[in-house]
Amino acid sequence: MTSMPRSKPGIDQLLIAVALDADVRRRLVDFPEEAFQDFDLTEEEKDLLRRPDQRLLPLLGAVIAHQRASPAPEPRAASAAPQPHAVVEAPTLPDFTLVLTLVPCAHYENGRVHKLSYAVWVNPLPADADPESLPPLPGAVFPGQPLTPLHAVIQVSPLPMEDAAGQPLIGLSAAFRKSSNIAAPPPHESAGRPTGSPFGSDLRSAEVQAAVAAVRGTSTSPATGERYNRLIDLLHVLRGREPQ
Amino acid sequence: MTDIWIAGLGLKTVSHVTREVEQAIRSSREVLYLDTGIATKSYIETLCPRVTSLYEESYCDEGLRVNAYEHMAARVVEAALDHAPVTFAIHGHPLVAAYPPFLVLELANALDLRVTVLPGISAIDAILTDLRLDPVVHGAQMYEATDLLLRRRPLQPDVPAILWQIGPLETCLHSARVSRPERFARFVAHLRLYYPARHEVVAIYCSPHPILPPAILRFALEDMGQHAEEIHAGFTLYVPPVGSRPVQDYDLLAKLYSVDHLRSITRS
Repeated sequence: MTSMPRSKPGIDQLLIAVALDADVRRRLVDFPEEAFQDFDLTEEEKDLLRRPDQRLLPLLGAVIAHQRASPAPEPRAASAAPQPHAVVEAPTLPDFTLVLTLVPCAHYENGRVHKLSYAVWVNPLPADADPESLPPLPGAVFPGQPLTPLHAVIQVSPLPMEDAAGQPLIGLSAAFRKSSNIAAPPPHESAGRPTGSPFGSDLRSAEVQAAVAAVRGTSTSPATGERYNRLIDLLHVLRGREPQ
Repeated sequence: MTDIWIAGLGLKTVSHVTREVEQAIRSSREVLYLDTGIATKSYIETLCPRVTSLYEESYCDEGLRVNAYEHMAARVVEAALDHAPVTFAIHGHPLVAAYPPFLVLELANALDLRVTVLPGISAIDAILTDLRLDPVVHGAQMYEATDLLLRRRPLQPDVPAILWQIGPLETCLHSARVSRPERFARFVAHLRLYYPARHEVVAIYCSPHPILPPAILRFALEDMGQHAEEIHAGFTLYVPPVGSRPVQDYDLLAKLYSVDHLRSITRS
């Protein structure tokens, strides 16, 4: 199918003009019929421009595709029924806190840790109590030599609510108050330090220094691609190869 | 002095470009840009004689996105080493959901190149305005959608959630193909750990053109797969909170309007 030659610019040019020029945009919004006169538009296109919606996206895509008509270079390499534990009778249930204690237990062989087992239990935690201060579970027999206990503290809050019909409904919100014993610095990229390497690379390492020297020692002509390749090498030295 | 400007173009190209970004572009010997807006090139060419689009030469279908990112970073630094200053101009905000600028920063740091980063209007800004949200009122939590699944990150259902990049879910490869409903099964299952099945969520694609309204899809969480064909790479998911967390510290609440309390925590 062949298309008739257009005497006026088409919708692609109108869309570009609207993006570039606020006056054209205003004219299209306020006086669309007037704005249409300068462009060669189908009735369907006019209707779309009067009430723009997501149908416009394919047109935008077509314009971009047209702009990219010239071939792009290839990328370079580069038993009984269980019962509740507690029944609380109160008009409003207060928050309650549970502590889950996990005790890693080491099994030794020839003076070295051979394997680990874990003992786990859950207790209520009194208000303001430190889980570290809780006594060991009475009568507990550990499956090895107990190491430092770990604690996860969970606060449970019953929330009085109403359902859609206005009937009382009790919701529940639970929040971790302590879920790890890990103390570690943040990842470099999340540390909020604008100076230095964003990923904490060691610029003084011999490998990095060599890669930097290789970049600096290459030709300045982008045409050879040599410096580009050295820059990719430097990135890999700095960041390590990303998982492939 | 700056060797490399890393600048955000905003979402609607010309109408979102800030004056400082425009000034950076004017003062550059080359602008290398990553933006598929229809007027981006036309606009930048009015400010700088040498303009290079990085999109076409970087991405290939089913190729690793990281290869494209490394290519962009190397091209920008290569240009800066040859004829600084240059601008690396990016759609939206240059450091929001964008890895190449960090690679440029890394290379520049190793090569003693001076970099200035200039902010742009990002999708987060547009989402807040399009959905009429104030993130300060109930807080906000946001995660990259695939990372949410990889780390099985917990969510707080009483805090608004913004989940980025739901379109390219579960892959590090570049693709323009339409998603199948199955793509969202794992994602929905994870969210169902925290939210009711019929909880209404919003998929939003902020407008890339001044006359185009944002695309806003509302559906029940468990129905997300039914919208697979519509949810392209530009979509973000907004998950409204389930209820709101009630005040618990009544002692503090009583002090909020107390002059005595204010005086006790400030210097005269």
